[in-house]
Amino acid sequence: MGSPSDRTRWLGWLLATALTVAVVSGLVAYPLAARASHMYGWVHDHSSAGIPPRPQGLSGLIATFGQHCNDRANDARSYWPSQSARNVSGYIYYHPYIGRNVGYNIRSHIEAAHKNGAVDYGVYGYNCRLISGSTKYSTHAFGAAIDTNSYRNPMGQSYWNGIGANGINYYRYIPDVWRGGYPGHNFYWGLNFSTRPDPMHFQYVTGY
Amino acid sequence: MSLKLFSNRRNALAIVVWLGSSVLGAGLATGLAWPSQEAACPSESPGVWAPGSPEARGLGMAALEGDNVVIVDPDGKTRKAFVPPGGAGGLLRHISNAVELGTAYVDDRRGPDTVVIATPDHVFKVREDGEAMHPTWSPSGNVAWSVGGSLRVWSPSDGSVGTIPIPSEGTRAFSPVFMAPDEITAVVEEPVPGTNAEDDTLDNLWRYELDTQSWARLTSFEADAERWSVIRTPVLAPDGTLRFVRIQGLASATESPSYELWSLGEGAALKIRDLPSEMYLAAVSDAGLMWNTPGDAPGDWRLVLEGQDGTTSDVGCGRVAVDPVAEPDPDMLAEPGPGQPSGARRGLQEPPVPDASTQAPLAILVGDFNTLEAAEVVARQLSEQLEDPATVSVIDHRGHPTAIRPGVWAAVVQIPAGADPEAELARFRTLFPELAQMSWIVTP
Repeated sequence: MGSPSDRTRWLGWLLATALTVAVVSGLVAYPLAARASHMYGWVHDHSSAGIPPRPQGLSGLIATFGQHCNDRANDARSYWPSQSARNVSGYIYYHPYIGRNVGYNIRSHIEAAHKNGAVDYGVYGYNCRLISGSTKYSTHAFGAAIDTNSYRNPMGQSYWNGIGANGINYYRYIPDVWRGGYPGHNFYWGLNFSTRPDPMHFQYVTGY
Repeated sequence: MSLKLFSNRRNALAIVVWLGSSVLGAGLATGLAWPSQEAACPSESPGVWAPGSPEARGLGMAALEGDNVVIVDPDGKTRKAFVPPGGAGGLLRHISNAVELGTAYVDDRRGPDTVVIATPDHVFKVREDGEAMHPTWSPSGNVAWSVGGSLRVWSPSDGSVGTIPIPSEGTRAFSPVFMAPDEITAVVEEPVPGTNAEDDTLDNLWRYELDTQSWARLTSFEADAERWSVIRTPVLAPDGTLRFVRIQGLASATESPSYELWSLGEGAALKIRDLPSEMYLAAVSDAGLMWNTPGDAPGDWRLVLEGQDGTTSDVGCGRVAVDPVAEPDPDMLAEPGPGQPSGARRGLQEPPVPDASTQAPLAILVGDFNTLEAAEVVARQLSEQLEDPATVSVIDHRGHPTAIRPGVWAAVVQIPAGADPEAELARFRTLFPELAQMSWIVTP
C-alpha cells in the first residue's frame, strides 16, 4: 500500500468515489422510484373486456347499457383530478361496461404518464338528463359518456383547447387517450358531431 | 309553481282548465288502462302528395313514420301514408301542419338541415347552416322554427327568412308556438351554475312580441346542478291555452324522471296532472289530446289519442314533435377508428406501451371511510361472510390513486377473473344490503 500519506490519499479517493456514486445513483433512482411507486407494472388492458365492442344506435345502446337512468348506469367509478373545479379532484360515475376502459385504461394511463395536469375541470360522467331541446336522453343517462376539460371545451366550440389545469398546453393528448390515435380507447368524440360539435364529450356509442 | 297573474278572467279560465283536466286525469288514473300496442310498426304504402289535395291543404294531423308523412284524422280512426312533399330526403323529423296553410318538417342530414315548407300548391326548401328543429305555423301562414341560438321566421309573401335572437338570459330557444300572428311563445333554456350546456337543466316559457321585438318570461321554474326541470312539446289548444309537458328529475338518481301535463293560460301556468310515464304532446284538438309515447320496440313512437272522456286509443306509429331515435342520427355517425392519425403534436405522444391481452382486475369497493379502523371493521365483516376471505383488503389513495381520494379508506373485494362484474355487484348488494349505497365497481 505504500506510505501512510499514500494510504490516506487512497482512502480519500475511495470515499470521494463512493460519495459520487451514491449521489449520482440517488439522482437517477429517485425520479424513477417516484414514477414507479404508485403505478408500478401498469399496462393497458386491450383485451375485449378492457375495450369492449362499441354499440351502434339506440338498439345497441339499450342492449349494452340498459334503459336510460337505470340502476346500473352509475355502478362504476374512478377518481379524477380537477373534477368539479380546477385542482379539486372528485369521483365520476359510469356504467360497469366501460369500467375497465375508463377506470383502468384511460384514468391509469394519465396517472402513469404523470399528466394529471392535462385534465381540466369539469369532468362529468353519469347524469340522468335529456339532450338540450330534444326528447332523446343523453348518453350520460346511460352511463355511456364522459365529459372532460368541459370549461375550456364547451358545446358548440369547433376545436379542442388542450390547456390543462396546470396551464400547460397538452394539445390533443387527452382526446387521443379517449379516442383514436395512440393508444386508442375507442370512445367517439363529440367534436365530430357535424352540426353541434361538443369537444368535451366522449361517448361509447355511435349513431345516437 | 307559479306565476304571473294578469287578470281575474284569465285566472278563472286557467282554473276551469285545471279542474276539467284534473277530473279527466283522475278518471285516467283510476280506471282506464293505456291501450295495448301493436307489436311493431308495419310499413305502409305511401300515396302521392298532390297539390291542392286534402293533405296538401293541411287537413288532419300530420306525423312522420320512417320515410313517410302520415295524415291521421283528428278522431284517430283513419290514417294514410304519403311520400313527403319535399321528396326523399335524410332523416325526417318534427312536423307541423295547419288547415289551409300547409305542412312543414325538417329534413335532417349530416351537416346542414333543410326546412321543408309545403303550402297547398308549392314546396319551399330553406337550407340552414346547422341543426333546425320544431317548425310551426302562424295563423297568417308564417312558419317559425329554431336553430338553437335563434328563432327563424319564414314569410309566405316573399319567401324571406328573418331571425329572432334569443333572450340574453337564455342559452338556447326551441319549440316555438304562435299564440297569435304577432306573438310567439318558445321554450328558453337558461344557464344553471355548476352545469355545462350540453344537456338540459332548466327551461322556462318566454313570449316574444314581433311588433316590439321584446321577450318576456312567462314561467319561473327553478333548478340547480342536481334538480332539473325542463319543458317539452308545447301545443296550442283550441281554448287558447298552451299545453306542455314538464319533466323533472335528479341528475344523480337512477330512476325515471317525472312527467307532468301543464297548462299556460295567458300568464298563469298550472299543473294539470302527473303523467303515468314518458309521453309527449303531439296535438290538442276538440277530440282530445294526441300523445307520442315510446313503443315496445326501442325507438318506436306510437300515437295515442286520449279522448275528452278519458278513453284512450292507439292510432299506430308516428312522431310529431319528438325526435326519431330508431335511426342513427346522421350528425353522429362514426369517426375513423383507433389507430387513425389524430393530429397530435410531435413530442407530446406517449411512448409505446405494450398492449396487454389479459384482463385488468376489477373489484367491488365499499367506502369511503374516514378512518382506517372503520374500513377494517367492514373488511373483517366481509371476510367472515364471503367464501374467499383472501379477496378482501383495505386500500387508500397512496396505493390506489385512481380509485379513492386522499384521506379516506375503503374495503375492496376482488372480482374473480372472468366473472360478470355487474352480476357480482348485484350478488354483493343482496348479501350486504346495508352496503348497497356505498359499493361500486372499480379498477384498484
